[in-house]
Amino acid sequence: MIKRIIRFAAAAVLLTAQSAWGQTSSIQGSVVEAGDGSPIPNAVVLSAGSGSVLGSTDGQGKFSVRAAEGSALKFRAPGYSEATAPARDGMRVALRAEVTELDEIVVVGFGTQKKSNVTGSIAQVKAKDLENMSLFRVEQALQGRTAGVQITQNSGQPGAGSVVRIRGTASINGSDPLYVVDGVVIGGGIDYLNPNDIETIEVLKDAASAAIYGARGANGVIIVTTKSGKGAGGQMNVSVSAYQGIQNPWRKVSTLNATEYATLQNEMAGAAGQAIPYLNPRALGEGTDWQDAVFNRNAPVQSLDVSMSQSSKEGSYFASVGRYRQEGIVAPGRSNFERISARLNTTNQVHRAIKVGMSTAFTHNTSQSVAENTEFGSPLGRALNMDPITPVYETNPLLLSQSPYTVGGALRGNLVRDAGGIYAISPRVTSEVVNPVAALLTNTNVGWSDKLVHQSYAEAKLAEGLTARTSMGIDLAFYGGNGFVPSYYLNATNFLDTNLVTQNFNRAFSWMWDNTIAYTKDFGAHHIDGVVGHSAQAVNGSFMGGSKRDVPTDQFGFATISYARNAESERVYGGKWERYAIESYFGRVNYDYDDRFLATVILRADASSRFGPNYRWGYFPSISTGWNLHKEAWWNSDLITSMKIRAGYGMSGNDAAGSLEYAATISGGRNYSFGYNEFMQNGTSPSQIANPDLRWERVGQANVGADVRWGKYLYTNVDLYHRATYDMKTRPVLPDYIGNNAPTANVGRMLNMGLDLEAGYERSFNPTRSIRVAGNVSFLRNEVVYLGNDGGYLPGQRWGPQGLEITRIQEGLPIGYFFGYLTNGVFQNSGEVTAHANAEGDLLQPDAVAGDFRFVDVNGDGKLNADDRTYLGNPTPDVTFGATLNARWGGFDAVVFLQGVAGNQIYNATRRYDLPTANLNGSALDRWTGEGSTNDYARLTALDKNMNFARSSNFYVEDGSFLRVKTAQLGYTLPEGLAAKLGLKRTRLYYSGNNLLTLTKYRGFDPEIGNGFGVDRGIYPQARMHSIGFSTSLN
Amino acid sequence: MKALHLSLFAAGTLALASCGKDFLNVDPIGRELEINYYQNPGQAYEALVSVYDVLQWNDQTGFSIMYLLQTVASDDAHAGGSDASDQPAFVAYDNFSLTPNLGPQAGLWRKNYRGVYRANLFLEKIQNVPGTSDEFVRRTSAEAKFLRAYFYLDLLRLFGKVPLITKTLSPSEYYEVTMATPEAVFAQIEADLLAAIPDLPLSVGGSEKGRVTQGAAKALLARGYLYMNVKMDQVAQLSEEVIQSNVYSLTPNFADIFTRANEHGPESVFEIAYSENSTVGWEVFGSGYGEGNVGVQFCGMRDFDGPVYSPGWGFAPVSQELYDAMAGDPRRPFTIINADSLAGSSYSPGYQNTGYFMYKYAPRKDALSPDGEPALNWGTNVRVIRYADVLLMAAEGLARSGGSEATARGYLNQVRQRAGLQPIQASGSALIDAIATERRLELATEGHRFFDLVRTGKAAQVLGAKGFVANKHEWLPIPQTEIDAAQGALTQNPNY
Repeated sequence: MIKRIIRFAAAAVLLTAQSAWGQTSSIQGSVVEAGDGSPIPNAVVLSAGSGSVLGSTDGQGKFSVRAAEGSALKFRAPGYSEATAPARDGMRVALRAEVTELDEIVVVGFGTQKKSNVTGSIAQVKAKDLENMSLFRVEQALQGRTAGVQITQNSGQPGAGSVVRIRGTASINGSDPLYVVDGVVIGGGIDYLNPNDIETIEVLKDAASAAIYGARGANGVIIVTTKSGKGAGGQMNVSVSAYQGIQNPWRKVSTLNATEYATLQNEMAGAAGQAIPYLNPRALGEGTDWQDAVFNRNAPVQSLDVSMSQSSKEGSYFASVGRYRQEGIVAPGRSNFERISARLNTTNQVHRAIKVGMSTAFTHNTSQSVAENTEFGSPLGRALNMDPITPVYETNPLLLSQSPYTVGGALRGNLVRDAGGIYAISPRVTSEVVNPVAALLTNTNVGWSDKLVHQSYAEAKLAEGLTARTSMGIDLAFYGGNGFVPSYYLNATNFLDTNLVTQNFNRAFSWMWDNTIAYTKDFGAHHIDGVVGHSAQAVNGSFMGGSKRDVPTDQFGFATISYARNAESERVYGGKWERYAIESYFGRVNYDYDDRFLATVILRADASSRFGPNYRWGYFPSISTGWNLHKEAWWNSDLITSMKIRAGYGMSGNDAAGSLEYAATISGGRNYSFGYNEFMQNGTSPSQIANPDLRWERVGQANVGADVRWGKYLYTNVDLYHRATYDMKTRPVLPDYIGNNAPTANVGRMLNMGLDLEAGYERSFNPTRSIRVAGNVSFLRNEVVYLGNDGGYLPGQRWGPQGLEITRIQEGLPIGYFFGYLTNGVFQNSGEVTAHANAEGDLLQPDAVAGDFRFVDVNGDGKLNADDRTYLGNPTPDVTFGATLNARWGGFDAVVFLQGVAGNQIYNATRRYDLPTANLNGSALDRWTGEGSTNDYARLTALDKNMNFARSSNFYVEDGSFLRVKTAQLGYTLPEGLAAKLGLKRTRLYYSGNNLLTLTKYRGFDPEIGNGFGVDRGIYPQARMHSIGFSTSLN
Repeated sequence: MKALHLSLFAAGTLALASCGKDFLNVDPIGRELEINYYQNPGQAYEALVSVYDVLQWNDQTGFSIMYLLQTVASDDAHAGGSDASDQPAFVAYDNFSLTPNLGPQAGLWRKNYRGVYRANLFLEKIQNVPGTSDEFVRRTSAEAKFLRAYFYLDLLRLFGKVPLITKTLSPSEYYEVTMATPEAVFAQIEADLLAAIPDLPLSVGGSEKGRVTQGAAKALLARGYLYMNVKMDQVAQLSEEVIQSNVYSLTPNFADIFTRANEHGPESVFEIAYSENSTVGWEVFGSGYGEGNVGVQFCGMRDFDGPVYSPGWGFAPVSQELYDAMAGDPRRPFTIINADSLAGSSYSPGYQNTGYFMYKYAPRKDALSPDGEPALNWGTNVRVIRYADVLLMAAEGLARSGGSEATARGYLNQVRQRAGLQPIQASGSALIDAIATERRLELATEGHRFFDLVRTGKAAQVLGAKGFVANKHEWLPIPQTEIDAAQGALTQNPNY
């Protein structure tokens, strides 16, 4: 390296000396590409000294100029970096391809930055990447596309959101990232956005970047920028895009048919010494397929989007309207979503130094949804557990003439029925496992929202390099729901005698005002730019709702609380939110020396109304540096054409606290009665001890990374991070002698460590043939370090009516890990039962017989009890990956997008273990039936003394890894001539398939379980969708 | 230079944009902050009610039903329930298999310290409540002091050495507490009660029944002296003051004392009020919100089907010893239900069934809560201090302090006479023994027996067969969870 620098310096000195006295002569040579040596046509040859153009290369990259031998020649070609070389006849100059991607602009929060000079870890997704991807929601744009960002769809229910985790789960108190849309911090998620309106999405992954959002940046920041009018041509552009698709479930879960069910019920009864319930199982045939009964086949999805845009020197606009409708694949007519959105973005250069602009979006959503991922009443949970002997409709007049269909000799008035007849009631399965189709008819609930998000700004250029900007944003949301539950009778424990109509109405309003001053200046090779600002935001809201019983109608549309009847059954509630306010000062300085040495320093101060006066203000600094090695003069590598290394550390915060959580508020209900007549007196006392020290959770994140371009086509980005959460809020156990409930306090710690890798290969062979492959892999390890409470754990999720504890949050283990007994095979014979004993010879499982699970005495105390419950699995994947393959060939283009996770487990809690007559997964056919039959699935018995299935155990924990073809698309762009004849510009037709293939060992409906932290209680699966669409531009 | 000016101008603009101080202060909506509360007599009164509220808690960390647990711990009853695993805390207190992790201590500890905290908070706040009359402040302060003394006397008798906390603690003081000796704790109890007595009313009217009176405070102090075995003359004097106040009298018919009609009756010196208007369900169990007496449900006969009584859970079956000790005593049928002799009824024998059940707090159909979960909402009041108890304390105080034995016998015989028994003529230690026996029989199953055995040093002798070990089981273990949470501030009781 040193040698190279010396050589370069020597050459430079020599050149300068030579040019002073040299004479011109004819110099011939060639200019080629550094990577593959292909010739570069039209490269300009200049004199380095005078800057005058001497000539250019021909089609073969050859040139012939006159210059003094040894004088410095400069070579310049578009798309390549300049090179200087001493003139020498027969010279061969290799130009390195300019890495255009790195000169893109990224949004960094209160400003933008050249991508090549970014020192933090920021991912960018652009409209180009999303074009025609049939996205339902904006989060999907990020799924599988960028390392370190894990998006898990809550479910396949239309309108369902996603769990978004940027570099893991940083807190037990909320780990959702901050969403900023056109500068407005958005509450309640970004499902109001029309994916077609998006220009770019930036994800600030590390604290060095997110520190600019201070107290709310700890979980990462997602910055969305919507489209604006483009170009200076002054011509209006109109774009239309639409698609139409059909969706179907991609899988059914294997369950027992009627014959198998009856056979196993007989076996269970026999094992328990009970009478055989079904004398002839075979006669029952296949029975009812309840999944078929609740799935909605060929559910349609439609999207239509029209936009107009125009731009000139005076200003620009972008306007769009869109409509998106989706029916769900479960519960026909009861699960759907519709979004109508409109947007207007404008900019105006009102004065040579003053620019104003705005973005306004309005969205109206309506949705209907069914319960999901619960063992108590989700249609799919019921479909898995309902016995297959019961028909959908009961047609047997004998059965219909007796209980439970009749009461007091007459048919019940509130049996669920429709045009098909009376829905059957299972005489076998009880509790919440009712006829799933009938149950769907007993609840109508239509949710809606109207949301308006607006931002206006004015920007004034005060002097060269000095810009002031003020922007005001509002986020106004109305949302609510209308519900109606008719009177119904589903079984002995699930009925409603009087119908119920409900309604609720909510309003949330947030405003924010940002003022910033930005300055940029070059001093020779030094460049400095910076921004300082102030921001304030306040959120208010109110809500009300009510219900009425027994309205004289069974029609959802007709039922209303204002129905003039039964005023005494009217219930109302309502209230106002306590205001949430946040005020901030922030500043950022970027410095670079000759684009080579880069540094960024950020400091933000935040004050939140959610914290007490002692710690109202928090300070969040970060520093990051980078080095563009390829910009060094000595850099001369054809293998690595560009390389930037980055390192940074920063602190950001999480203000996940409730209103007045730090304070002691007064609670009622501390009553006592005095007097002969037990005259009740109201008593009040503080709800808890105040904690005026309550403050932000802090996340300190160190990040090192390198962005490398290999030759012309290949790039890799690597990031290694260490994210430590401090001051995590938990409720520590205080001694009871203090006398009141402990407040939450900042005592916990959490750790996430990981590695993000991205690589891509992009190559154009000619203007109509290109290929692009991009992939990313993230490795993540999460650990709850310290909780500061009694026992070092927090109880997690529970399962079933018995409330089995199946997950825990515990020090030293990943958050929300699966918890329960560990099985070690099945006792194959009674000898094995006897052998499972402690040192004293006492049987560990005295109630077990051959065929029962052998549970492990994990703590080795010679007893099998609750203390033996242990770690069974981790819901958080070790590895998350995604890959996109794009190819263009003539008018055709193809996209394949893969996504997956590995190393996680799923807790399959779809079975109602407490109901022995509930149907079983098809895997029950492989149960233990005798010595040597299986070691994985215990025997079936109606009297499960060993609690084979009534304990949380690894029997329920399955591998959750999957690889999914999320999207496969084939498009065709009309030839320009043909399009022009039709009066169109660029016009593309395509077919798109979503979720065409999923490779997983998981046996449930879907391995993608965002809602429920890896516990599947009957998830609403993702749909497989086939769609066709087009997009076109009109003049 | 121009740029500099503009920057300064812009910086000034930014500074102007900064928000006022109030911007970040949240006004509570629909609730009050503690720091803004206690601003009028109504709020102060509600705070006082919240101290009383703790008296009736019986759902803290399991079931912390004082009178029932003390009866189970004594020789008057067994643990009972459905089987040996039903309510391990009861079983452990019954057979003295208590450990720091097993027993009723966590609930009793928490309940009483919650009460102490609320009393301390009230006493701190009441000084600065605007608009209160002197009389209001004096009386309510006296009530809070009484209640603080009440909670401390329970803590003292249950745990021996406990942290003595007489103000609300600030975070820096949480782990600075020390275990106070029983004498130090009692000194505080004595001081509180002596301070309270002059400010309390002699008696209260119908709508205030249940609020603390002078008589209640004097009787509680007498009970404290007795337990500490000090100042027997004061026991006699305080009890006689209550007697001579003529506010209280014996209910003529012993059988009527525990009826619904006799709640806050003439014999009631201090009573914990429960209400069958309480409507809570299991979802609030453990919160202290209920106003019902769950102990009633506990001691009922399992699956009982018959007249008068409602089914219960079969806890605290009365011991054969007590049944035998009351042989021929007219009070026996009104103290013990002989379930096997009840005509036209049936019940399921549970764990340790003797066929005998507690009569005084039995679940009677006429006290069944009309709403809410019946088990949690029994309205039966707990008679904490009865006039009969005061008479017997007066007798004991006189007999043990060298006072008039005749007067002592007179008080004792008032109690016997009401029960329909012959007067006793004993004197000296025979008189003291007779008083002790009378206490057991008159006050049986009301939760006094265990502490009486402990204070008279007879516990090991009487309860040894059940597992009682001297110098250990006089007190409950300090809850292990509390020792862990206290970060070294607490030490375990001896021999645990």
